[in-house]
Amino acid sequence: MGLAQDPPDGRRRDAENQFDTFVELYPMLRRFAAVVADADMDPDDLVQDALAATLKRHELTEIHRPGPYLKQAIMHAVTNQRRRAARFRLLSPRLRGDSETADHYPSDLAMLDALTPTDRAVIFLSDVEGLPGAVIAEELGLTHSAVRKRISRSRKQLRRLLSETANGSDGNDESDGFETTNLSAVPEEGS
Amino acid sequence: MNRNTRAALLDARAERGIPRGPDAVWRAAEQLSSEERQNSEHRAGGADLWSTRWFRFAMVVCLLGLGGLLFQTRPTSNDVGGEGDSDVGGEQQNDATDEVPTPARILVGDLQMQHVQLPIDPDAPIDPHYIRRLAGTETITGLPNEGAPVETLFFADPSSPFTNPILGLELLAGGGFQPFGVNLGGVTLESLTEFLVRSDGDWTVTEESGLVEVARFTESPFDMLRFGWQFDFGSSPNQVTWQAEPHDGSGVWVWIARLAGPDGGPTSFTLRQMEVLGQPGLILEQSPDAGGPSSGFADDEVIWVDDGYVYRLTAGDSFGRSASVAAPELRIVDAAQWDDSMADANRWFGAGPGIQLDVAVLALWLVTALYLIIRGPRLPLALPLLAGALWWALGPDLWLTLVLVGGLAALWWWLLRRRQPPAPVA
Repeated sequence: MGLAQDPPDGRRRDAENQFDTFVELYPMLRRFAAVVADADMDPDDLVQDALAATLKRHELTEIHRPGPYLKQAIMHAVTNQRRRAARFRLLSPRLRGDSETADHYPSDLAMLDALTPTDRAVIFLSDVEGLPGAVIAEELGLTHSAVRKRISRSRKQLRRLLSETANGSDGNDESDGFETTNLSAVPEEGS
Repeated sequence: MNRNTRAALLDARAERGIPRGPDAVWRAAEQLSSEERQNSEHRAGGADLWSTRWFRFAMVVCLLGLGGLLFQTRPTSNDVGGEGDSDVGGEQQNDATDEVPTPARILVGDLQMQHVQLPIDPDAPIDPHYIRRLAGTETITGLPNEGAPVETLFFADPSSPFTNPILGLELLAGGGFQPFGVNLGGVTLESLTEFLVRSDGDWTVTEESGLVEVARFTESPFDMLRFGWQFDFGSSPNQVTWQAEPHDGSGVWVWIARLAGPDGGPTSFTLRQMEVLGQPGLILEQSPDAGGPSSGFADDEVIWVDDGYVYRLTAGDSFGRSASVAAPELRIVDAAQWDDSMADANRWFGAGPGIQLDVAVLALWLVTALYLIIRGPRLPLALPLLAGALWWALGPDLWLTLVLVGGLAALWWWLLRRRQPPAPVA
């Protein structure tokens, strides 16, 4: 384990506790980061940046709810990286390679890139983690109504995008083989 | 799209890539946060220094000095040379200085006007710095009040007063007197003073001297200085400067007394006549064995009177352009040309006194800042040298001193900030 070398006992225990806390949170954070991150971002990098920013100011064990805290830190890290990337593209468009705009996760997964990181986070927490809107709002620092709107808007957008992809794939022999059937025909939940 | 499909899509997205694992991520994050914390603690060390009393005091001193410099350099009038059509501005008035006529618009050859000093207030006390530039601080401030000149008399040949020996006599407060001579040539001051006679409390000379009283001031020639204009052309040391002072009837004698008088500098001056801008003028020339220049300029100065003004021309001598050489280059220009020159001077150096000081201070700190960035640790050695050079070049000045002290403190703070050991982690 990568803890500091030979710290005093108290500090070592604190560090171990922090590490244990992080180990518990890591799978959830990594999944969250993978969803909210853009296709060209590495989820582990985001978790690492968020954790570093947190450790710089606080010990993990002194944070009341480290999970939501780190999720918000991940959201901030995503925003920062997007901002940096936008500046880079603005300053040196010729340096921008295809890799930045290439479809790393083609087909259905790539559709998620059309959503904003916050929308992806909201819909992920709602549809995958099964969290209620109020909890999502609290974890992401949004209002409940904003969460509701984002969920609704994201679902509509996803449905439209997948529908377009499915229609295009029907007559396209160069389909990548990912499953895109029956997604567009599925009615919105609750409807 | 049903819920399950959407969840599956998001779930697949959540599982993308190959996880590095919590151990690797923790280790990297811990190292990153440690480095960032260390950097911020370096800054915090400097911030601690900011909280020290002496440093804050130094900063206040620096700001006070800068404020003083800015206040000093604030121009008080911009209208010099008049706005009318006349070549000589003596009859012209302006709104800002209704009571103060303006001198002629004189440029010097193709030299650029670089510094302007305008009269501030006719009733204001004499600026000691201005006096120092005219005749040297020691000669003025060194005088005890009791020995200050209160009256000055000139005795000369009435047929040609500026070509034959001139005997000057300063009557001092407290009853003393000090003679001085100009154009002595083959005679000595002692031999001339033998002709001085005091009769009924008044001083005169005997008939056999061939001299008569030609001028008399009833106050010190330096006290007569109230305000004036000064224009510098070119850049030091190749600099030509002319000054104008309203003429109250004392003519060129007041300048002869200031420059050649016993307390005005070297006592061995000779006069040569010279026409300046169509007016009769005088070249005051120091004898080779004189005690040195009175004002830091070349060994001659040109004085003339024109339309209510006494003008004085001085020049730096580094390139052999003494005042008498520069005088033929003087030219009176129209208002448009004059305004252009004033605009140039304002653009580069401002219209007030001491702007050059600002520029020098600014340049100093820019240079030191660059030096700090490049060479850092050696700055403490360079700073005193630079400060000393500036001090030597410009002379003691309160505000400049404050700026230097404060600036040094700021730079020391910067150095200490970089070297401050990291504060213990709370």
